[in-house]
Amino acid sequence: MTDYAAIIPIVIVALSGTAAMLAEAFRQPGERMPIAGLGLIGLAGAALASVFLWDSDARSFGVIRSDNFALFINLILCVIGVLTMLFSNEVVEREQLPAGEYYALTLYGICGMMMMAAADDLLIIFLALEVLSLSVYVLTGLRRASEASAEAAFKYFLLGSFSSAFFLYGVAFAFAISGSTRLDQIGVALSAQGAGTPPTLALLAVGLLAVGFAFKVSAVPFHMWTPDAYEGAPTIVTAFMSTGVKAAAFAAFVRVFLSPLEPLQAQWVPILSAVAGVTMILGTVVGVAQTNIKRMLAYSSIAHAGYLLIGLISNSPTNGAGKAAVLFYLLTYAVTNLGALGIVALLGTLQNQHDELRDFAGLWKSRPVLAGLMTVFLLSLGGLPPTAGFIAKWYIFTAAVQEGHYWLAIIGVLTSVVSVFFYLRIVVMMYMTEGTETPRPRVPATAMAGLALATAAVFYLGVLPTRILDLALASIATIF
Amino acid sequence: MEVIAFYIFALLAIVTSLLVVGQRNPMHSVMLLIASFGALAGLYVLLDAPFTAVTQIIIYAGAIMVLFLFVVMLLNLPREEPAPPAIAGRARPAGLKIAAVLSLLLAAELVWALSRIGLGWFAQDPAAASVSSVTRIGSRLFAQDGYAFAFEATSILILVAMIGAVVLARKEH
Repeated sequence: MTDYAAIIPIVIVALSGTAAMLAEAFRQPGERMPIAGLGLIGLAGAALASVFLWDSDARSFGVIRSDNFALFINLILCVIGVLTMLFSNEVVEREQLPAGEYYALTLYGICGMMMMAAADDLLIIFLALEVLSLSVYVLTGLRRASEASAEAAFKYFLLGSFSSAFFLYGVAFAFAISGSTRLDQIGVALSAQGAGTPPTLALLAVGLLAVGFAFKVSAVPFHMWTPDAYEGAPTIVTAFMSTGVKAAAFAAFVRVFLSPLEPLQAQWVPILSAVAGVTMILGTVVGVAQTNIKRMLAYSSIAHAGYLLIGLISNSPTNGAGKAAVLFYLLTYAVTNLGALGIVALLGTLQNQHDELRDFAGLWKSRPVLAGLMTVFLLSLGGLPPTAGFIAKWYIFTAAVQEGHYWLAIIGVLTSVVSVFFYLRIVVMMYMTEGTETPRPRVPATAMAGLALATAAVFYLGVLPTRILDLALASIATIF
Repeated sequence: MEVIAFYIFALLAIVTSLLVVGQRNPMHSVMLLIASFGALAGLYVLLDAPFTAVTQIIIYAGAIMVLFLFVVMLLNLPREEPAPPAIAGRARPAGLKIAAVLSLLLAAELVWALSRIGLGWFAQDPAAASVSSVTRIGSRLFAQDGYAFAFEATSILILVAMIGAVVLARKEH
């Protein structure tokens, strides 16, 4: 009799996705149904289950391991889900997206993300990756009337399936070394090789797995899909996928590379360091030239993937600061980016996406609260104190310096400074430019509650980060 | 007895496969392909792989052939149009040459591979027979420490794919 405890959060989210689907099926034409509420209940349940499972290190079926690391990611994903649901209620109706399918796919996507964070087996990681990718591909193409949406979905789908094939090839090589897809057994097989040059098969496995993960976290040179997909997708989907997919992919990235593949650290650290450096530079430099907010935040998302990679690299068996910094950064990035893109989504209408830089002109005059909140999120993305973004970057760069990756820390600081320029460009537009006649719809109370929640989190993590950081440190201590 | 069955199935598979290529009417090709898949399934039974045989019939002869039939009917192609002489004159010799080179390559590869591993490899291995039995596969697939979770995760994956296909392909109203 196996223990089912570890899969409870995943099952709850999957069930709420199914409930959303059934609710749509029984909906009368023209009837309004609070499907977002169903999602909120499911996500709250999953968060509660994750809290109860804390410190239990439960395992189910031998392939799902709900250690504190996975539970921490679960909680981040629940925050992402709750914020998405709060914003969606209004946006889905206004943009005339198919409601039941939208919520069902979002919830199944979160289910896949949770599975990916908790998977202790490369096969399950692959399946989870496919569950979350498929939902996100479809969500990207949900605006049927829009050509840009269809193009984005198609590009994302083609390149994404290509990267899945790379990942699967890597899994095959890892299986060839150890005769198992379980992470612990791959680790045993690799450390049994001892020091010296690792076998070619192991290097191939590391390389191909890294390509698969780098695609999903949109690291250079596998970032090409990101700007197009983020721009073409409905804005609320961009908000969801830029945060959720990144959190889940980095969770699995950290778990695979710092646990079974740790013996090969000498081989993969130089490669990933180069990738991290190039990712930060390209994301920032190209981001400066953008005039579309969603495209700009896409390049910012690429740059943030670079910072997160520094956290992944800056670890040693005795020092887990980098891993904890990654967890903290993922939470920070989730609330900040969801807040910023959420505001863009809430200001958009079916005719006007409200995603060009000039659309923001004079926002301070017509919507002072939204302009103020947007400023907070943008400053946090840029990493200015007293917001969460500053603390998150601080911990990442500290970890890099502790492990001797000085030049990565220097590139990180320099690109952060440059990136402030393009975040401030929006701020200047909002406050100092005369407004155009852009029609801006009303923002309902539920969405304002979501924005308030995100803002509170940005300031809480920015001013009193110790509690959450201690939790992050405790959650990585148990497994690696 | 087994040998006779083998020759019957093998002959059926080869003849129907050749006929698939030779038909002018795509509908006939598809029907003959079903017969060819059926013959292959028979060969799998003879090889002591009943599970593979059943999946061959359910998935290939069933699901995939229905898909083919749908495409043929959707495109409404009662018979293949003969290529215009101008194109046929230019394309055929080059195409034939490429096909000949490829088939020679494939034949050479097969001969090389067989000579490397030797025919002894094909001798009956009693352990191998039980691996593909339905019981073994079932207990591996649904055992709690086996692939039970992967199986369930796949079902969610397929559900997501179905919702996605419906939402992207249905008519706007």
